[in-house]
Amino acid sequence: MKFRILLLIFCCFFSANVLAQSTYSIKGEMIDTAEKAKLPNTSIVVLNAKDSILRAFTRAGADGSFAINNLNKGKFILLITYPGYADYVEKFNLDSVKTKHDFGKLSMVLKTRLLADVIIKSKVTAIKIKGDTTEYNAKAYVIQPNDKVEDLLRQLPGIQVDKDGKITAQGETVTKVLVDGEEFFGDDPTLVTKNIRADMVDKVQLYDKKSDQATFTGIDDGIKTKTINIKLKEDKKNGVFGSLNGNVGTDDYYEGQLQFNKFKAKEKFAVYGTAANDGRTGLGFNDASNLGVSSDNIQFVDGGISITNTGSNDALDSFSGYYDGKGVPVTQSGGVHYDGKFDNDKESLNTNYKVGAIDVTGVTNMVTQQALPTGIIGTNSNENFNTSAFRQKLDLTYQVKLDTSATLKISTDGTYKHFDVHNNYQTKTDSSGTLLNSDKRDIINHGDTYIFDASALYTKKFKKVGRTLSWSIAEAYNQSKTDGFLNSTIDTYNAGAVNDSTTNQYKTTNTTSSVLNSNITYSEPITKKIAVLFNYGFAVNNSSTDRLSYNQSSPGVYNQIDSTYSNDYKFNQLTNQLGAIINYKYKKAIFNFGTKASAVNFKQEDEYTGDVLTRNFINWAPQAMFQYKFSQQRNLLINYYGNTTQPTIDQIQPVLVNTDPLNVTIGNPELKPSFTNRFNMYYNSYEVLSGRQFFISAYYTNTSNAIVNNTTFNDGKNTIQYVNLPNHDQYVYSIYSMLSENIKPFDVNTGLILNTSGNVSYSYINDALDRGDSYTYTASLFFSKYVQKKYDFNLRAGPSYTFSSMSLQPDANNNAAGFNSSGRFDLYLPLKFGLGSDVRYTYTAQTQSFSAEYLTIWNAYVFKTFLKDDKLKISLSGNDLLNQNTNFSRGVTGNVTTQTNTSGIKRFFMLSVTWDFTKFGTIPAKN
Amino acid sequence: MKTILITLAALLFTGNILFAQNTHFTTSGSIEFEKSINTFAIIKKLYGNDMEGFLQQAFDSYKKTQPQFRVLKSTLTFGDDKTLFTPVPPETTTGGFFNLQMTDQNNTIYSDLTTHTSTIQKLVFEQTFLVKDTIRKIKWKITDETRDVAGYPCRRANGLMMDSIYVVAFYTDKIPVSGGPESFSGLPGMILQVALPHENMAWVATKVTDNVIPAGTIAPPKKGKPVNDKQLFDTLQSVFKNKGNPAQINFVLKQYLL
Repeated sequence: MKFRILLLIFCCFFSANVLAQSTYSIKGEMIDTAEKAKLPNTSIVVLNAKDSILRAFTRAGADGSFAINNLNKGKFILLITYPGYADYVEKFNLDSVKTKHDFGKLSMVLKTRLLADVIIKSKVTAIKIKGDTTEYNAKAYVIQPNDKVEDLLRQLPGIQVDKDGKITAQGETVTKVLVDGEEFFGDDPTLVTKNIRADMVDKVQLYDKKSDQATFTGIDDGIKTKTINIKLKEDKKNGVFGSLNGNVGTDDYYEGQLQFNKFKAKEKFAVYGTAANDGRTGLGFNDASNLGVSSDNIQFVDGGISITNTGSNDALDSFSGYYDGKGVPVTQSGGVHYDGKFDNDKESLNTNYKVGAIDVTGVTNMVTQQALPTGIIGTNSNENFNTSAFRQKLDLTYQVKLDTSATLKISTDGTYKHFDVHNNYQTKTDSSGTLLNSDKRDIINHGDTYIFDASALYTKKFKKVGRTLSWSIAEAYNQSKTDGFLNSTIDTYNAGAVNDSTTNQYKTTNTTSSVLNSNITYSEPITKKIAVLFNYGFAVNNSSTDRLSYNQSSPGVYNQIDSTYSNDYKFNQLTNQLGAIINYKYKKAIFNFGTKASAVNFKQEDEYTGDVLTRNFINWAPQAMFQYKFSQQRNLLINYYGNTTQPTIDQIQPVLVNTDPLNVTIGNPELKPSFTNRFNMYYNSYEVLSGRQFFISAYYTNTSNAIVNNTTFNDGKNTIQYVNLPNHDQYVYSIYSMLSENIKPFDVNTGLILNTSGNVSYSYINDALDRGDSYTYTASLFFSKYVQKKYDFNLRAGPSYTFSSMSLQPDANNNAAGFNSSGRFDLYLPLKFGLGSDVRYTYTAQTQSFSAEYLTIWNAYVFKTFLKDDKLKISLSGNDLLNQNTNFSRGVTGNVTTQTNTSGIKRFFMLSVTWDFTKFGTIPAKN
Repeated sequence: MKTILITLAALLFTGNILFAQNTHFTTSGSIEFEKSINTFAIIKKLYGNDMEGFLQQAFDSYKKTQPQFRVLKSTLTFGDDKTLFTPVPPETTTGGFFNLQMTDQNNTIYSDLTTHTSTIQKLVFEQTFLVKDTIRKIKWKITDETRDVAGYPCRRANGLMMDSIYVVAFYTDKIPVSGGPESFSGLPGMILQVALPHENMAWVATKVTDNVIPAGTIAPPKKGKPVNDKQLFDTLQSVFKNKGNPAQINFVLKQYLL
């Protein structure tokens, strides 16, 4: 009876089990062969037989049993693993006939592993090694078109791989295979089609890799792992690109430009040229950097960039490639460039030859108002100028990586410049309507300048992170000779009588200067957060200026030396500078502060009289900076710089010159230095997802004991002397803020800009102290949208108000309202047409002394492109359609308010053709 | 009757055999991971293979001063078939000329391996999202290659995720929890090493601690704007629209969806 009950229970148990399994399923029980012990937690895995894709998995229960339901029909592999035991593999099928599979009791065997011929094998095979570090050149081995990297490794002598995929060398296991430094896993062709092919391999390196700790401290701890590093070939670029551009316009305007660039692997050669009379002077920054021409100017420091002007400040080298001065230029310029990298990128050479000529003609009208205690003196001046310059420059830069921690950069350049200047001035000065004097001056000058520079920079990084040394030395030698004529006539009016005064002289100037400077900087980390930077530098400056003025002895013969206006000075200056800065870095904050002190010995000798002027002084330059990076998109920067400004030689003991007889400067040997404090603040926050941006920047500069003008106005002539300003500070400030957001759903970027700036300056006039104030407030609203290749537009407009006054004549202020606006749009039409236009409107109100200024500059263009990739473009453009262009500015300094107007390029139409050519071959890494 | 009882008892007793005192299986504890990012390769991919002029100089300078691999740490706590992945804030932030913010560890991930759901607190630029959805499905393929990671014997599996990202992972039988760092999961054991060879990043466990995790420690994060996978994808796609060429946009988008 009991037996039957038990049997019934067993049957129920089994039948219950049968009922539960209504889908495809498997089950079984795990035991250890030897001990017959159950194996709980055994990993039970079901894979597709065809591709080993994981279908399901489970773990054996506490009693060793397992079951997996919810399978499908198909061919599978059962993979059972347990740490320390052989993998158990069995194939099985489930179909409509057999929906369940019971594996029964499965026993696992310790240690030995069954050959897994149904599971994908790793493909590395036998190669042997000799030696510590071996490098194999992949080209030496036979590779079939579709061989994988593993097939190449197979061929390399000296490397051994056993059946399980372990690579050994001299009994040591190769544990790491890297590709270009990153661990290599070998692609699975059934999952990804991209894979590394044997023909992409350049070199295979085999070496003992020191542990990471040993690499950092430099102390060998004996732990090494055998590593294979596979270096892939870089695609070799080979080709030609460039552009050809020709423009012709009305009123004889033209522009032509050619850029041709040929490169092969690591060498590049370029030729370029420009000829234009419409304002273009040469390559702008983008084109120049693409050709590699401007490599000198850009420095990458600590993750950021700084672009410095290397000092060749001639009109031909401008940032935009367009003339940014006054007048209308005619230019021709061109250059040749070569650069290359050698010895595995360890050495590089960059050399350029540039030649250019620029001829500028223009007219400037200047109206000034001088405030006196007694009234206002007004001056109206017209200047016709013509400058032409010719310049040739050759430069060479060589950089070499001496080893992994040290680099050396050597640069040298030579320039030859020639210039011709012709200025003609006509000036009238009056006092409240009464004419005081009128002056006509004609100045002609020619000159030649030779410049030679050489410099070297050595940098070294030591093993300790943060300990670095850099040393630079540079020599700049400059020699120039100019000669010319000064012809001036001054008529002074005094109660009806006229007094004539004429000067007619021939002048020559010879200047030579040589500056040698060197600086050594050393940085040392004190703790993880604090580092100290020291620097020592010196500069030796020797120069001489020899000026001669000749009067006519007979018409056309200038051989009488005028000793009042001739002089010969020699000038020596020795500067020693010592500086220290402490830098603190922690998480998101950086803080540094420090100072530099320069001891200057200065000597000027007058060769005619033998008089010697010596000055010794110390300049201080304290600085501090705080930066906080809230996040990648939000940061704050505050900094302070202070520096001493010494009076210049022109303020202490100026050379007597008569080029402008109505404005003469006399010296003041009692001058003391001034000290300037500069505060800067900058905050930027940009939200990527919402497109909202807020930006504010401000600066404030104040100068104490400033050096200001002390002018005496007498008989229509200004005599200027420089003096220190006690009891008052001069200052300048500016605050600029911008808030913008992407307005959805139109996706238009909209924003508001609020800006204020001002300055306070002082001067003495006829012994009275005058204070000049100028404050400007601007607000503007802007909208912009850009859809690539479809259309874009931007519009900006807003009012401004300027307060401008001089304390000696408070009623004669020049407060004026203004309005500024600009807008543009570009539209791409079907059939490869396009058009666009831009307008700029500015208005400055009339004041007591100045007339109102209105300016509307309107340009428009239409174009059509041809050829594949729009390589050929023909466009028709109209510039300054309303014919109003002029350069206009108004400002106040001390007791003088000035308004200037200079001629510029006005209306013209231009037809231009541009062809971009590219013949790119990439020699693919296949070779 | 007695015989039957005795037989039964005997069977039962033999049924109650010795449990194998072979291996200790870890079902709860914590793992320290290190993520290493090949910054040189990523910059090259982002800015294109033919960087000219200015950009190439910036990259050359970057290569001279910055290490090739950026290392970030994280911790994975697991127990009761649940896992919590928490990144460790880095000592230095990404900065400088090349913006590699997308490679930062932006996710705190809670996964419930029983219900196959996860809650991810994801920081994308200035916005924190709370993504609640099913655990990411990865198509895995088991191989027979093995290696030791952090002292645990591991087996290699190759996988494909998000239809295009190739994954190589090493999991260990000794930790019968089908989780891993970030969103990598779905293997028969804990993933102790995983690499994305074509995205140039890899994670490896440096230390495994076997201990009991107090109740309540492994809990889902709560901060963030609640979204599901599809909403997150749509939001990100609209942000990156028009910000670069399709290959670049695709690359950056993938990083933020990982």
